[in-house]
Amino acid sequence: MRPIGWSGAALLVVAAQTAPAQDASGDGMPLLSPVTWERLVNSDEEPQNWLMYHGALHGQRFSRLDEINRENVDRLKLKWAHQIRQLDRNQTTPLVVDGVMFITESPSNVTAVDAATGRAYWRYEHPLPEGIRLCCGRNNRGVAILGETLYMSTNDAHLVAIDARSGSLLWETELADHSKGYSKTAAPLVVGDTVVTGIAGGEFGIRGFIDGYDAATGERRWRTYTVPGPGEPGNETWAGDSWRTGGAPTWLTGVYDPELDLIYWGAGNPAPDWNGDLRLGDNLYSSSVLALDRETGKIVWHFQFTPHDVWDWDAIQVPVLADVELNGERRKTMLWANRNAFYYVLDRESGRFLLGAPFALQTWAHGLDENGRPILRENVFPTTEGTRVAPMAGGATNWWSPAYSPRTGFLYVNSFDAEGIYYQRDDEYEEGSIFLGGGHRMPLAADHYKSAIRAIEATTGKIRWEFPITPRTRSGVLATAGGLVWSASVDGYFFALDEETGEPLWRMSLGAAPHASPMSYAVGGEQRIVVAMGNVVFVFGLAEE
Amino acid sequence: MRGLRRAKDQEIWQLVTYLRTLSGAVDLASLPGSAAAGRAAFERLDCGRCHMVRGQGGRLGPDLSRVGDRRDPDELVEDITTPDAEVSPRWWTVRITRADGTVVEGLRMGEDTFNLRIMDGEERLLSFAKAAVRSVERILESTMPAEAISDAERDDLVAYLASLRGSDS
Repeated sequence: MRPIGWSGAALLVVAAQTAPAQDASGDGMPLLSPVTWERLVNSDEEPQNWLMYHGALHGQRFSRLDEINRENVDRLKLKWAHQIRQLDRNQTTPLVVDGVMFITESPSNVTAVDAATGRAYWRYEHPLPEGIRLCCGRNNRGVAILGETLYMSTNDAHLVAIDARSGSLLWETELADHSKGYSKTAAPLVVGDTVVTGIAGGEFGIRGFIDGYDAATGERRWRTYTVPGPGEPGNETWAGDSWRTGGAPTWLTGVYDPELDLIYWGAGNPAPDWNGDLRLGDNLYSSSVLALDRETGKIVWHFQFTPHDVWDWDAIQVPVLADVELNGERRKTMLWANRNAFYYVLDRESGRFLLGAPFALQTWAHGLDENGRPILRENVFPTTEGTRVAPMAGGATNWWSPAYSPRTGFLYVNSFDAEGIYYQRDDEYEEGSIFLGGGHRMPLAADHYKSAIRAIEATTGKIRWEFPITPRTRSGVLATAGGLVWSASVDGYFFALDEETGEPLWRMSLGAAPHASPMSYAVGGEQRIVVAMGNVVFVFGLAEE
Repeated sequence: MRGLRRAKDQEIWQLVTYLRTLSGAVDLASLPGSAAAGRAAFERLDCGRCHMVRGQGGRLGPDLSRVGDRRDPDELVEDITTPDAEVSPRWWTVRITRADGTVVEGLRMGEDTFNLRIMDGEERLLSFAKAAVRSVERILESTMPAEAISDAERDDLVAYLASLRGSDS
């Protein structure tokens, strides 16, 4: 398939608009028309829909809807809510396709509801076996769609294809053996007619990979290991046989650039997490971003944020693709606020490091060299007695999405200034068992530290404003064309900030902590803002005047 | 529940055997029909036009991929021969007359106090605000056509459907 660039958007939108899609549910018009690859490439042109986990292939989590804006956000009210049946962390970003919303639920289920009313069409419940090994909860973050088929990861390390109209299972494929510690939690990414998806299990000594599957059949087209095997470049960065249990999981959805025809995906921590002596070397491609060829999955370039990571600083963040002006030149860049507390700008064509600066408290590096490699401080590695280092293991940020607004040129990031005490211990790999090589704790309660939504100027890395929130908050950020930045805090507030100043313009107490990233869509011509908090998906819109 | 630590192995296995009889698992070899012939009949009768089996087929009837897990052979016979006897509300048909007098029919995917969601004959999803329509009529009969089939063919179909047990089948 020939790649389609964003520059060709105008031509392709015509095709998208001829589809019989309606979004005004409630009036009995047909809903849910097939989501072609062209629609996915041009998703910015149909902002009433939210067609993939990040909203668009570039990962900006920016909605072009502006009905809700700085002038009228005080009229925001709850329209409806969806209660999730299973009590667990609620990490979903729903999709909306022509008036139908798809909400994933813990552990591995999905419900289709009317996007106007929240009332259900169908529910798919994935049967799970006993004994699944999960480090961090029975989570599911979302689905992908192509045509009329949804694609979902399941906790038992399967990928399932589900009919979007009826909820019927179309095919199911096993990526890896869950009894060995492999699991899946992230929304897949559709690229052309390939479903690209990753794997979790970095705390179990798995060998991470990124896979591409035939969207029609579930047949695997390629697998790219994030820990190179013998004879492959990068294997020399692992001492002895340590590559076999090297981790580097890929548990968050990546992005795709149609013009460069490259897939970008982050890789997580090496295993064991905190005992680097068991895996001497840089440990490629752990804590790195990979650029992959769409057809073969082959690695075109890589950039390692944290070589020989001994702090659990997964590069499991969203690679945000944005074209920005640097030194008077328009550049195709990737913006990345990393768990290790540094903000990076990379050339996404070559992987070359362009810019880097801390965006949160860090005490582990003097800075970054001209290639973006950290210049380590003394005595920052874990020890048996414990080593105090910032950021803490959960990171200066984590998997929850940042948002980039092309209106302001700011990357909005939920950041955390805190330190951790890192311990190193002996460990021996045992298949299917936790393999950490140490431990971690925060020396003080979270309230001693600081969480904030920060506006990072993309081209300089300077913090232009910050809005302090209760620590430690695990919420993503959404930016919308109405001049608003949306996020939530651990104390149960959902709020909107002014994109230019960070001034809070609206808030509502929803009574439970967030574990997800907001999104926006429109139905019947009216904009909605969605956030999952507690075990509820809340949907807001403007009150009638 | 009290544990069975004092039970002998033989007693435990007797209990397991009994519980298995309650689980509805059926010995396929004990059924009179042929699953292979049933599959051919399923195709000849075009059942897949409305029923999906492992991702193949229509959406206007229940997905049968795991029907052998949830219905025993006697129930399957009833499902085939008297489809109107027990129609789940999910498979009722609703006939909606819009405010402009036009009529649309579809399977009742969801209904609440204020709204109604259906799948029409072309498998499209439609959502209606009840306040915006003139009337809603429920049709409680099955949409499955009455086909004249022999007892042998019925038994074959039952054997085939009983064999549909998710990933194991």
